[in-house]
Amino acid sequence: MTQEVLWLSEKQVAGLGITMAEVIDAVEKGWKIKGEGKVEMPAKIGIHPRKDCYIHAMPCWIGGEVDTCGLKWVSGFPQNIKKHMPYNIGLFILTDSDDGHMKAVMDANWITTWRTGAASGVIAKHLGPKEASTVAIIGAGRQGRINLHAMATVYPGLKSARVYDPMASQVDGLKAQMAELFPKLEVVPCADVESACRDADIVISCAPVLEKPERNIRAAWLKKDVLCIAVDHDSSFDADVMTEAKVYVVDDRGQYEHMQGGGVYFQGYPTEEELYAEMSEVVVGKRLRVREGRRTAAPMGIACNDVIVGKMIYERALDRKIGTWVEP
Amino acid sequence: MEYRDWLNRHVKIGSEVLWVTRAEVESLGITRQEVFSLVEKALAYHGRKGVEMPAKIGIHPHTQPNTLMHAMPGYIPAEFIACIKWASCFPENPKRFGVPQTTGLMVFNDHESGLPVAVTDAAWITKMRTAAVSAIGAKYLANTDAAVAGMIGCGVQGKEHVKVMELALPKLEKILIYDVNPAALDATIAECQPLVKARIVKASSFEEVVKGAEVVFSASTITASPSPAIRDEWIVPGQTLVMADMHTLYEDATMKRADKYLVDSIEEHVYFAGIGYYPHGLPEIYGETGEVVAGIKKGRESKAELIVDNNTGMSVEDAMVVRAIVDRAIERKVGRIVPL
Repeated sequence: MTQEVLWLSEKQVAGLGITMAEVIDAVEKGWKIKGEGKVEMPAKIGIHPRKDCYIHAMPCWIGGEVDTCGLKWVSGFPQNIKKHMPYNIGLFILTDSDDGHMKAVMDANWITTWRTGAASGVIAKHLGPKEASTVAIIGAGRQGRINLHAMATVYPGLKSARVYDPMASQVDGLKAQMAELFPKLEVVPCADVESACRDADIVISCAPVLEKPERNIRAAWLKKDVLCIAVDHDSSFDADVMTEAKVYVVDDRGQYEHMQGGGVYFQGYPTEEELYAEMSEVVVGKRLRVREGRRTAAPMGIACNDVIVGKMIYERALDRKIGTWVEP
Repeated sequence: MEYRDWLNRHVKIGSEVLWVTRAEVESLGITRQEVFSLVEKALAYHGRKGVEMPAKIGIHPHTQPNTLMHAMPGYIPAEFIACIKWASCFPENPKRFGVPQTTGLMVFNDHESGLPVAVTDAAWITKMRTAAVSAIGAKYLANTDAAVAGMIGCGVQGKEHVKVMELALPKLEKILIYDVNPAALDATIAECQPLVKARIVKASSFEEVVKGAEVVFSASTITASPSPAIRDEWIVPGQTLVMADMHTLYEDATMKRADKYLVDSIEEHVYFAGIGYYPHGLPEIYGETGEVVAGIKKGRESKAELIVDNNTGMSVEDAMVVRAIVDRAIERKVGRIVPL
C-alpha cells in the first residue's frame, strides 16, 4: 500500500488564508515543546555551488503533542536577483513520525517568510513592551514587511512604523502593503537609520545578510526601554547593542554556537554562554520575561518553526482539499 | 550552462518541478551495471576531494527503536549535480504497518540558481547504490578470485547485494546466505537465483557463513550499539569483511586487528562515533573507500591481508544516480510536471 504525497505550490500555500496570529501561535507552540526538551534539531548543514550561495538542509523532529518530522531544503543565491529569479527558494517535506513516510512536499517560501516574521512576534510577546506605539523597520523588503505585519498583529494599538531602506521603492512597496492590511497604521519613511530608531519601542533589522557586515545601528540612538530584533544575523546592530543589553536571546543555542564558532557570523556578539536564554526557555518559564531596559534578540530561523508551520499548512490544505496528490 | 539550458527546455526552472515516482524510476531501465559504474565514479570523485559533502545530519523519532531520518546534501561540480536525499529507516515498519523500512525523496537542484528541478523517489536509489558500494569495496579490496562469498542479512539490501556482487567477483561459484529470519532465505533464493550465476546456498548460522566465505558482506539492522554475533576467532587472514551495517555484528577485536580498516567517509564515521555508535572507539583508519577507487591509496596488497570496509552511504553516491534518473526521465518523457 503506497500512501500518496500531497504537493502544494507556493500559490496554493499562500492561498490557504492562514493568518499571522495563527503562525505566531504555531511558532510559540513549537518553542514550548522545544523548551520541554522534546525537539530534536541538529545544526543545519549545506552545500555551496556558487560563491556566496548556499543550499541548506534543515531537519527537525518535534515530539510531544505535535509529533511531526520534516526537512526544509532551501537555497540562497544572491545573483539570482539580477536574473529576475528568486533569491531564496526551497521545498519543505513533511514526514510522518510513526513510519517515516513522506506526507507532503510544498514550496517553502511562504513558510520561510511567515515563520520568520512570526518568530519576531513571539519574541515581542515575551520580551516586548506591554504596549508599543512605534516600531522601527530597517530594511523594507520581504522580511521588513512580514516583521511589521507580525508587530501590528501582536500590538493592535501600534500607531506608527518608522521605516528606512536605501531603496525608496522598497519603502513605497511596504507602505502600499501595510495600507491594505493595517489602514490605521502610519508608515513614516525615514531618511536615515538614526531617525528611524530614535523613538522606537521596538527596532527590527532586516537588511541583507552579509559575510562582512557594515553595521549601522548605534546603541546611542536607542531608547532606554527598547526591544531590538536582528533578523539579519549581525548585519545591522553594533556589537555593543547586544553585549551591553540587559537581555540577549537567540532561537537555538546549538545553532548559535555553531554559527558563531564558524568565525563569520555574530563576531563580537555575546557568546552562547553569555546568552540570557534561548527563546524556548523563556516560553516555558525557565527564564523570566523581561519588559524593561534594552532586550535584544537574534533569531536565526530554525527548522522547528518550519516543521510546525508546515504541519499547519498540510492540515489546512487537507481541510480545504487544496493541492495535488502524487504517487511517491 | 548547456546542461541547465537543456533541463530548462523540459522543466521550466523556477515555476515547475519534475516529479518521478518510484514505479517510474524503476521503469527507466537503469541497469545494475550502470548503477555500479555511476557509484564507482562517485567514490572516485569523493576520493579525489572533488565533491562538497557535509557529514549527514539526522533525527531519530522515539516512535520505534533505532529509527533514523537522514538529511544528505551533496554537490559534484564536475557533473553539475546539487541535490539532497531525505530518507528514513524505521526498522519495525514491515512488522507493525506492513510498509517498507526505508522510504525517502531526492530533490535535484539546478546548480546555477539553486532552484529545485526534480523530486524523485529515493528508496530504489538507496537500495541500488548501497549494494553497489559494497560490491565496489570488494572489487578493490577483496581477493577477486574468491569462489565463495557470504551474505548476512537478507532483507531488501541483502537481496540486492546478492544480485550485484558478481560484478565485482567474477569467479564466484557459491553465495552463502544467512538471516535470523529463515523465511528471508527462501525469499532471497527465489528472487535472486534466476539472476545470479553462482549457486545461492542457505547457511544455518553466522558461523557457517563466516567460516565458509572469503568475502563476507553484511546488511543487518544497525542497532544503536554493536551486538556482536560473529566471534573474532572465526575470522581468518585473507578475508574481506564489507559492512553496510557498521560494527553491528562484529567484535571490536576483529575491527581493530584488521590489516586495513577503511570507511567511506572519515568525517561521517567520526560524527557517528561522537553520537555513540562506536562505544569501543573507531579503529585506526587506513583510508577511505573512494581513495582506493581513485588510486590514491593502495587496495589489497597481499593475499593474506584481513581487510574491513565499513560504508554507511554517502550523498554523492545518490547524487550520481539521481542525475541519471532525471536525465533519463526527461529523455523518455517519464514523470509529471507539478507547479512550484
